[in-house]
Amino acid sequence: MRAPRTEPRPARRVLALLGMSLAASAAACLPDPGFDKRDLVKTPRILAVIADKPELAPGEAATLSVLFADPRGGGRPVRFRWSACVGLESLGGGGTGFSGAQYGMMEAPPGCADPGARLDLGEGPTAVLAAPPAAQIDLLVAQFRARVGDAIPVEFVERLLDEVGIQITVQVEALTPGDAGDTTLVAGFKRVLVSRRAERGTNPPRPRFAIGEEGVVSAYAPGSEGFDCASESGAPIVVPAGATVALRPDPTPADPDGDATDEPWAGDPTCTDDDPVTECYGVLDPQGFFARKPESAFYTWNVTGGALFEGTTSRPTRDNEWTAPTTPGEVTVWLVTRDGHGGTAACRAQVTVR
Amino acid sequence: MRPALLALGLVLTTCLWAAASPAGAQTPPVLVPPRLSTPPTLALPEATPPLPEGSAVTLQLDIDREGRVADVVVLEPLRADVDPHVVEAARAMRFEPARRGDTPIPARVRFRFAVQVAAPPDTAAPPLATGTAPETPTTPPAADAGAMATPRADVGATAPDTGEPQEAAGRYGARARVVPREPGAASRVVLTGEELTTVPGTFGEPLRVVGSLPGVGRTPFGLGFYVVRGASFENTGFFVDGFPVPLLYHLAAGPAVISSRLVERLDFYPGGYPASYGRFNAGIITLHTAPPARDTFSFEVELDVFRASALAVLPFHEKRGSLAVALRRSYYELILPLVVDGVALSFTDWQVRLDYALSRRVRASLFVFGSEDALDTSAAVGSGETAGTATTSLGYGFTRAIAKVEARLPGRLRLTWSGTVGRDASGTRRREPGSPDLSLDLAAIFLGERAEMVWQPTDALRTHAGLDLAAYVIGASAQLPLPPGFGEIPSPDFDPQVFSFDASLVSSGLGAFVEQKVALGPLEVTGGLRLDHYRYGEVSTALVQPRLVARYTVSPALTIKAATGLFSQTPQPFQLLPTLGSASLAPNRAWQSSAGIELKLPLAIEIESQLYLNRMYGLARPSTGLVPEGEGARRQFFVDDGEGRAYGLELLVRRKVAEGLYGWLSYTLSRSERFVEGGQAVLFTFDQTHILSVAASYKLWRFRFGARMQVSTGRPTQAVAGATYDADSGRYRPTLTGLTARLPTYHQLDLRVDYEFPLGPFEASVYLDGINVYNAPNAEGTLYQYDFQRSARLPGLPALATLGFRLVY
Repeated sequence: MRAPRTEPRPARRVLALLGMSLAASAAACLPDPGFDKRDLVKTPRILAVIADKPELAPGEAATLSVLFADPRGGGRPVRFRWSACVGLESLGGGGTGFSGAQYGMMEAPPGCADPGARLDLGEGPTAVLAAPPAAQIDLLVAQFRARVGDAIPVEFVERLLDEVGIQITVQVEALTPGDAGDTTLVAGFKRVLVSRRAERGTNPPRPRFAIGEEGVVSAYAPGSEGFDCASESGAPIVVPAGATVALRPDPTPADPDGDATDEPWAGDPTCTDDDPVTECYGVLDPQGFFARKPESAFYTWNVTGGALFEGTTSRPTRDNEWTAPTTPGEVTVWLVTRDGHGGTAACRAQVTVR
Repeated sequence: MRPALLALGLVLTTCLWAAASPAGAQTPPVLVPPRLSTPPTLALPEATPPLPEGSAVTLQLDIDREGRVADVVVLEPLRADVDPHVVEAARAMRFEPARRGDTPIPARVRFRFAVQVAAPPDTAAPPLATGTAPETPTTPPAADAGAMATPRADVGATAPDTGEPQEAAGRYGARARVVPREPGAASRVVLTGEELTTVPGTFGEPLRVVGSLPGVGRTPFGLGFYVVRGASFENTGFFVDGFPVPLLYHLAAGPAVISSRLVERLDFYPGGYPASYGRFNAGIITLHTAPPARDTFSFEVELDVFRASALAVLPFHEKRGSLAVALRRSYYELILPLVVDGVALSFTDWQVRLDYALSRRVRASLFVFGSEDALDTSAAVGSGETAGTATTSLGYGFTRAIAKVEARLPGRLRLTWSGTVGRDASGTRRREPGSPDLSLDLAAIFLGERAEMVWQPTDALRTHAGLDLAAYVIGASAQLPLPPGFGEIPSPDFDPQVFSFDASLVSSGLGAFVEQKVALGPLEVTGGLRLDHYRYGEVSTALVQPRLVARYTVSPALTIKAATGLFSQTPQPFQLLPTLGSASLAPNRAWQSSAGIELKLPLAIEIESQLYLNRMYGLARPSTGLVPEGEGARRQFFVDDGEGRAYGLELLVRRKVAEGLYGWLSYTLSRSERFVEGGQAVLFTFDQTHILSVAASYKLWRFRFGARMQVSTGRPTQAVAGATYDADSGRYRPTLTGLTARLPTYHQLDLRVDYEFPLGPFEASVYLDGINVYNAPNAEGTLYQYDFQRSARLPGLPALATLGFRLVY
């Protein structure tokens, strides 16, 4: 069993280096900044934003929902305000959509440079986004070509719309009333694709995961609704205090012999006609060629207590480990599954630590 | 009775006579005067006015039992700007001690130190490898008579314990070097001798001294890359004997990749460098190497906390040639486990140098050197999370062989040919269980050739012309995360999908240059023209770069100067590689201008101050754009339309090594900006408004005490006010306020003590060098919590000290 991942190593002071030397170092080699871990929910957080259809046809609509976590529970009123941007940003701002954030660069969230392109989607736990109709997309394409140069053939842009699509950014703010008006607790955004592809992407199945040998939780248990999952057996999930248990996403139901298997959810990560996978999508690859890529599966875990070995797991090793708190109590466990192409599903389960 | 008394008297008389006789063991011991064994190295300031033939400083030297010069008194001075340097050179001389019989004794001698500075000095040229043999006075070649000073000693020894004058012991000669001024350089700082190895906080590394000079912004963690006059790291070139090298330092604030004992001189051009150099947009740091001057076989060993090194020098063929071999190896791997787990670090460098004087006018050298570094770590700190299972390794190395032939011909003509071949290799690798390995390996073959001619028919005219060829063949092999395609949605976590590619790039540059100096009375004008032809990727272009330097000597103490010129540089190789780069990026260019004064004050103090303005064009910057290609379009990762500017004021108050004391005060007031879309100027990442450095070192008896204080403005950072959650990638994007904040002011005090002492047949020295002695908690950056709600300073180098021991035979 792996040891739980620890916080950054504590600072060490070097008192003496070598006997041959009087050299002394007050080195604090790798200081511990004392930051909170990302997978431990201690403050209000948005953990997922989900469109019931992550990829839309022009003019089609999707319903948006947000997975919000507040350690204070229902201690304060929270409401959600939604908006979207349908502008040149939908085409990567006239660029390629390269994200330096993926490489650790400080990059601001996508904005809406043209205020006229901003859509107010209203307030509520959910919102409805209507994809722009074909005529509006044509207008965007014209603006795009004017910006990057008309030398790019219109056929190329048409193919881009057919095989890759454009992105609409949806933003959501969690607001709570304060003395000086509404206060934004947290904000998040998500991209919704609009394409003319015949086979548009869908969301992954709603998560289902096993907690050690204590049981399997899923959204298909009787009484589950929204993001809530529950034990499939109907019995509460109980983990001994301080125990380390495995978290296994998408467990295959035990076969009649009782041997569990562990087949990946998303199949083989290739995207060829000979070896199809669940879903593929089109991209304009780094060299400028149209290509097809497979979706994958990323499992992001959050808890309100204890320690997770990793925050996000992915294929081929999808399993995670969780060390329960040493004090008894209730712990919430979240699992958000993403397919890497806008598709998202989420699940929230309660575990009793005893 | 009387016969018996007579016989006794005869015996006693005989015995007494015998006892008084000088014959046999009773002969008084012979007094042997001291004999010069280590010739002096005399470095006179640039543009030292000529001296008449036969000039000399007469000194009184007190030489101790070990042959060291314990005290120097000027009996007959020569000139105020020369005497202190002669005294400094005399202090460094070594003698075979005076002896009474076989017993070394202290001696006081009268020493005539002849100095010749006949004509304006010539351009840099490697010195003769070793000092001239004792009792063999040398005469400098006619072609560079102005570049040489010849101390010649007429020694008469006096034994201080008896005061009895002794017979003159002969004439000794040695070669010393006067660093010539370079007329085509707008500004140059020359470091020689003890300035190279005893500056506090440098661990005896000459190249780290550059960080304390005007125009040089400090870099995080003491990395050996410099922000010179507001330009980016890669815009300042590192040269060894005229050829570029990829780096000058080992990893982890390590030492230079070349033994400091083989560095004769370091020239730093903060900008406006001469036309003989090219392909860099900002400054130049160039090392001139030479073996230590030795008359006989010698070796030295140096140990300190972090590394051990050895150097051997073997003169041969009546000292016309010499062979020097040096090796250095770190032992971080023994020390780091005491400090931090999971980090393995090591470096090695080696040098072999062969010098030979083919004739009085022609000499040749071959310098082969290499360096290897390796780092392997399994621990890292990121934004509040530890990648405890990931292993990152990094390795790089290079080798160079530089051959050089130099001929000094009649008519004050110097011809130089040099060529080099080298190999660069670097690789980085990241392994994590469950994820594909990521790696990037680069290997390059470098070829270079230079042919130069310097002709100085009169003091007022000087022509410098030549050709300069450099070619790289670079191969890259990588397994990297797949860059996002157009319109692709960022993946959660680190996308494990990788792609492999192998690519190659050939980059060549042919440069031709000519530089002409004309002096008209107090006005000296040097015009230069450099033509560089670049060929790489999809680019084949030639750039003409005119340069002009004007100097007006108001008085012997005051000179006014101004310079302007164009410079160019190829984009970085990774920006040109297929798949990840853009092969059509044009060379970036800079227009550098400066104006200032040079002032010479008493006590060997010099002041240099100048204003500078650098305008940068064609800088490569990341892009998210598309460019048309064929019937479609392709991504463009870099574009070459970036622009920037940097301007400021530099001040250097300096006393070169004289009478045991050297030091300088360096101050830079600067601003460096880059223009973003719409023409708005934003601060450059490493902009530092104020940079102050004060260094001083004083030799007292066998000790040398030194201190250096550095203060600089913290570099700019982006002010962050919260963050927004990216629900697709699971990461947070900071909310940037658009305002610029700065890290706190950086300050650091370094101290160093050297102590020299004899140890049997060896000369030994021990030093203690401390960096950041009061452990200032300087910040080098900002760490953020995953959601940017909390932040912490990334600390810089802590207090660090090393104790070193050096033994010379």
